[in-house]
Amino acid sequence: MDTPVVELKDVSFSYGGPRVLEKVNMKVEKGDFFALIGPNGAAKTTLMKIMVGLVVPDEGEVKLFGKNVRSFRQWQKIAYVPQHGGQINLSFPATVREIVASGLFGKAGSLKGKSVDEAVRKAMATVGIEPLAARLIGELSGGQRQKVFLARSLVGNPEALFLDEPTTGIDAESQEEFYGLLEHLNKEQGLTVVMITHDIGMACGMANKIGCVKSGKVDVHENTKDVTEDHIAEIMGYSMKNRRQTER
Amino acid sequence: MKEGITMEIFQYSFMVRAFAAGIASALVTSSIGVFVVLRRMSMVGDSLSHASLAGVAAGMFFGFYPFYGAVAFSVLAALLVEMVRVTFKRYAEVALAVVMSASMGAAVVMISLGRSFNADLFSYLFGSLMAVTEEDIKLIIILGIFVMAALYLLRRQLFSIAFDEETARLSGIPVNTVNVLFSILTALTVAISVRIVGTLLVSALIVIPAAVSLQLARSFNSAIFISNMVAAFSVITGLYLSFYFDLAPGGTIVLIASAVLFVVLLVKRRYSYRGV
Repeated sequence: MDTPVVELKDVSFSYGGPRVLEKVNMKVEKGDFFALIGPNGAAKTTLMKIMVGLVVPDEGEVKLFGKNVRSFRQWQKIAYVPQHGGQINLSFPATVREIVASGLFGKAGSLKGKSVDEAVRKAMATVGIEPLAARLIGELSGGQRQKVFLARSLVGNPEALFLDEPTTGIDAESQEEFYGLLEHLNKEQGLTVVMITHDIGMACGMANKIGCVKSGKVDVHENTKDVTEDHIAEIMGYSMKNRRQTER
Repeated sequence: MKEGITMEIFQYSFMVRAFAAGIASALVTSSIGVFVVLRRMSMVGDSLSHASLAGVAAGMFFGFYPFYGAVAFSVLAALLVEMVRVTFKRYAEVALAVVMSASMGAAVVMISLGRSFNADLFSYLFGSLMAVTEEDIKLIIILGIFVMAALYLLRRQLFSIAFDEETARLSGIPVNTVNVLFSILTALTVAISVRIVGTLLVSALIVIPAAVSLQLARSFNSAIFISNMVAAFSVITGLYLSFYFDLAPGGTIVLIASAVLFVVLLVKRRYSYRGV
């Protein structure tokens, strides 16, 4: 059996007060589409940052591709798309091409000149943003910006992709397109996807595992075909009736 | 006739030195300035320039070459700022305020103890055409080349960190090390520029050309280029004007750079009102 992409053992974390994560145990296997859902403030982002080593837990063990995350150095294997909506400096004077290429700056010392150009072109083509290559990042819509960040994360050919609410603030059509792209990358190219989302419908439809983060714990549901939206909503304390009314 | 006036200035060896030091300062400050502004650290130049003044005062008080003091104190201050910034992540500006006040305090005490309120001190405060020595030029050129080479080598890492520090960290960039190196480069930049622009105005030469470039640039490389051009134009024009009208070079250079920014903002605003 393959080494898990992510493995958390008895992970606990607090921001100085009560623990926001308590003895969390979970695994993400190679090829998984793992959706992390939960109410606002449930520490989903913290959990993801712990997985990739951006936050150090108070207790417990975190392994990335079988290595302790603190000594993990195989950066080419992972890519991270942080929660960007509104946080990015929109006056940053960088073109789409420059931003996508920046995904190679840390990990691909061996790629030079034409290889970089080719990798950047390929990543832009994969997410369909080639026509935007010379545009400034501040001139793009929210959906287009998210595609740029996705292209930046894909440019180094990672094995696992971590996304923190990548579709927040973008329209329904762009969301659908974005999800379709992720599904293609996961199913056709075997990319492991770990994604934080509030979209229970998408999680149940696309993910093969759903992690419900609530009250410091993570309940992992496998075989998501057996898990209905209503069931997940109930676990999470959401009212599906209200949700459906809101959606209408 | 015009050519005569243009070239006459170069008959004076001190002006040749001033132009060499000025252009070197312009290129270095305006290149690092783009990163400084994008990282929202515009006040760092002010803090480090105050530290360099403390170094100058120390040199005058203890009897060593003040320029060396400026280099040493600004580098130490930069490391201190970075250390405090990492420790108090949410209150990074505290580090700048503390270093600026402490440096100014140290400078004033050493100046008063050494009774150094003289023309030499004023040349460090406001910049001077006459004060740039052969030794200054050598140091400025060597440090300038070092800073530019380091910036060139680190440009990709600095770009990634300025755009998104977390993602940069996860792409394998040694963010903490690069940040320390960047602080040292900023400190050296400040020290290089003190001779021509003066400690009180050096941060303007770091920030203003970068601010102009952010208004006009259509890519990151063009941002650096525009910043370089604005700084070089300001320094060259400023040196000419200060020579012919007997003005303080630092102030003249900064006023010209400010005028360029003002015109760019005005023109941009006019065009944006027209919906262009």
